[in-house]
Amino acid sequence: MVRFYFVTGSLLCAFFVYAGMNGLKVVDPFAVAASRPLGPGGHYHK
Amino acid sequence: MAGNADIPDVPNPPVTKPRVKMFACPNCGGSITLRYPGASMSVVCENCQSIIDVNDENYKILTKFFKQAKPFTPLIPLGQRGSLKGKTWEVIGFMVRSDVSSQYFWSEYLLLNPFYGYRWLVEDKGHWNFITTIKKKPEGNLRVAGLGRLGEVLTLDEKRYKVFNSGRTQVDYVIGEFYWRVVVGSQTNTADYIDPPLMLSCEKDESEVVWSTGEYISHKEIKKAFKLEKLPNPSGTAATEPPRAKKSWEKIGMLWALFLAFITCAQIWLSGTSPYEVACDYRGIYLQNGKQNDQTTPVFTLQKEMSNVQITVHAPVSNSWFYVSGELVNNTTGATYPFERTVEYYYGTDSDGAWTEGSSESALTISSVPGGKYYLNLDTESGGYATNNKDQYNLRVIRGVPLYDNYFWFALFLSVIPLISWSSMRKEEASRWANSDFNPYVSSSE
Repeated sequence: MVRFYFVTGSLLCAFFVYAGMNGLKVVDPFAVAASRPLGPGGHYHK
Repeated sequence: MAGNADIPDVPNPPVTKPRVKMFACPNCGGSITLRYPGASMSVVCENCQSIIDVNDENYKILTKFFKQAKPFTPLIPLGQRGSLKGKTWEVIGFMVRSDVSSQYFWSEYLLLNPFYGYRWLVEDKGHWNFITTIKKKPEGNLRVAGLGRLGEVLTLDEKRYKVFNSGRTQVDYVIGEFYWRVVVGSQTNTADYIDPPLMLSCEKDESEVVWSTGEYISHKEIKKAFKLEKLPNPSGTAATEPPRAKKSWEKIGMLWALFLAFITCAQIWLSGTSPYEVACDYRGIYLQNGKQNDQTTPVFTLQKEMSNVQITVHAPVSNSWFYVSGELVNNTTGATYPFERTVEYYYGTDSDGAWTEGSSESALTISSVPGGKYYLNLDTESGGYATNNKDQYNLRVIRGVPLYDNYFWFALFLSVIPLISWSSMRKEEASRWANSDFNPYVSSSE
């Protein structure tokens, strides 16, 4: 488990630097989410 | 270390056949074999289980007709020889002891090597410890060796032992021969300290205080050493069982700290060196409470081979909203990055007082956009305005903004295995200390 963590942790650190240098958002759940106006209280504007 | 604490390491002498002495049991007349006359002081008759003083010329009976409704059977037969810690040992005695208050039983095997002396093998729920009596006293609070108030931590040979159990134990069953006048029912005060896989034990009766060290031995090693066909598998976690999960956690915890330190430094460096360059600062016109489609910005350049792009939208909203739908288009390849954004700002008062909601500015970040010439196609829409005038919004394209989300996500990814490791360490230690009177994993209120 220690060896596995050493390897995966090192890879994650390397990937972190790579992502930072290339402007890559690794987790971007709202990247394609619609952004329609909701209005106060979350009511949809017709 | 157990096994050679007080005897220098010398070549293993050849094991000679003991000078066996035979005599009749003074109680039942059965034949008794004394394997080590001169060394043993008492022997148990295999027929009637009377304990006999072999140093008395008339073979005085120490305990007569000791009978158990259900005798205990030793897992290692008496007389069996085995090699442990590089030396050959013969099992000459077996006893079962118990904690007086809890009636918790365990077994002890007396081992003898005529050259190296006596050792003990203690078996508890399938777990084994190799015990050596020591002359050295540990350091710590030894004021009351009667075990009333021994310290919680004792130190011996630069190892710190934590108190695990203390109480009063008694001898419940014996067979074989022993180097003292063993008496069934005799009681002693005991205390056990642990620094897995090592153990430090103190035992006190009316006449003496005996200290001993122990070391955990796997049941497989015992099985192999004494050439046993069957041996029960250990159950639960023994007090001295090697702390594998703890050792693993110590290493993983160190790596965890290193990795977190690394990405923290990297994040500071990336934030400090990110270009944060405004590639486009566009001011567009929109209709209040209406739609304005097909606006196109002038072509602008995104520097750097690969980086992110942040688009910020600002509009003068006040109890109204502004929505922009657009696409970032590569002027050379035609690749598009669609996006949508809304700015809305509301305020008012209610029974709780004044309130506000939203903002007149909003931003989004598009990940990994190649460098080159780009432009924006924009459609706008708005509502909630009191008038239907034209108004101006502002849209800025910024190249290479620092990404802080990545830092938190990677910190989370890097924490998964350490959390599993910590959890299993905690589980292992809780299991180890479950049978202790000094369990640190139980709060005093429980």
